[in-house]
Amino acid sequence: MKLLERIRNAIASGNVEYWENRPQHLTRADFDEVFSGTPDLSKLQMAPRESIGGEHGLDGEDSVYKGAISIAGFGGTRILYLKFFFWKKGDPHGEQGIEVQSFKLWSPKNV
Amino acid sequence: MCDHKTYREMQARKDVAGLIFSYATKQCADCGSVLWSQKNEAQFQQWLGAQRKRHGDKFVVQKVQIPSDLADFAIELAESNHSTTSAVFQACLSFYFIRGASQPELLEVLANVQPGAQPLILQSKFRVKPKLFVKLDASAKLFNQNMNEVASWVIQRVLYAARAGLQSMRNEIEFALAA
Repeated sequence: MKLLERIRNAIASGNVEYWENRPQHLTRADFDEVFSGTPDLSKLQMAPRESIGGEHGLDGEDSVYKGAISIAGFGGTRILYLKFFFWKKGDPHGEQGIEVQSFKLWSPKNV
Repeated sequence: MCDHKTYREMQARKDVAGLIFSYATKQCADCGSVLWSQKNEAQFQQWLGAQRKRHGDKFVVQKVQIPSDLADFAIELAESNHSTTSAVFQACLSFYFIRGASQPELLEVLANVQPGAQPLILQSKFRVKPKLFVKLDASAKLFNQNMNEVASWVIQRVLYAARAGLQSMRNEIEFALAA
């Protein structure tokens, strides 16, 4: 299953735990809007998850996805920073959820 | 970059069109991030649905700009469906932001539509459903635009495609008007 499809499935099934830190972070509504479109996820990178914190720290997958994504719309393009991991571990084709640790406008400081 | 290892219980607030949604959640003790859980999302959608009756006047879109020829087409659609132009505009937005998610090929068509350069007509404000308002607001903030600019972009393209003969788009508008 493609990454975009896995994320959309998690959103459709309501299995999203979303951390937001205003004003830097975008909202859960922004997250839904981005993934109702077709964002470019090609620059996302996998990295080992470094902690067992968060709502699904214990049953989440061992890797996080993080990096810049882009979305086009309304005559423009936005580059965003996203960091998240899937839960539950070991069930990549089942009804999975995601825990979004960070989602905000991209800047060089995010990398 | 914080992994939200430790947190405390808290009461948070979200402002939607000047209305306050209050919810119990957790806050990361290290970075201050606040969790928007599955439960919070379900509570929020329920709260949002209840606002339409009590505070429907808060969820309005203003200063939408439509080329004169598309404004004429909106009037024609409204009259042939015994409806109003405001309802036609709502139907356009509702298709793009809600039902369109299951029809990506139609959204792709809209992204490539180039409405003509007819003189723009300023439309007076009209109400939208709270759920649609939240989506419009999110898109506007995401793309650093005003809500009326995003609404104008969508309405112009949906009407243009329907008028240009894309029957499925016209069906979508008429389906929404009949609902």
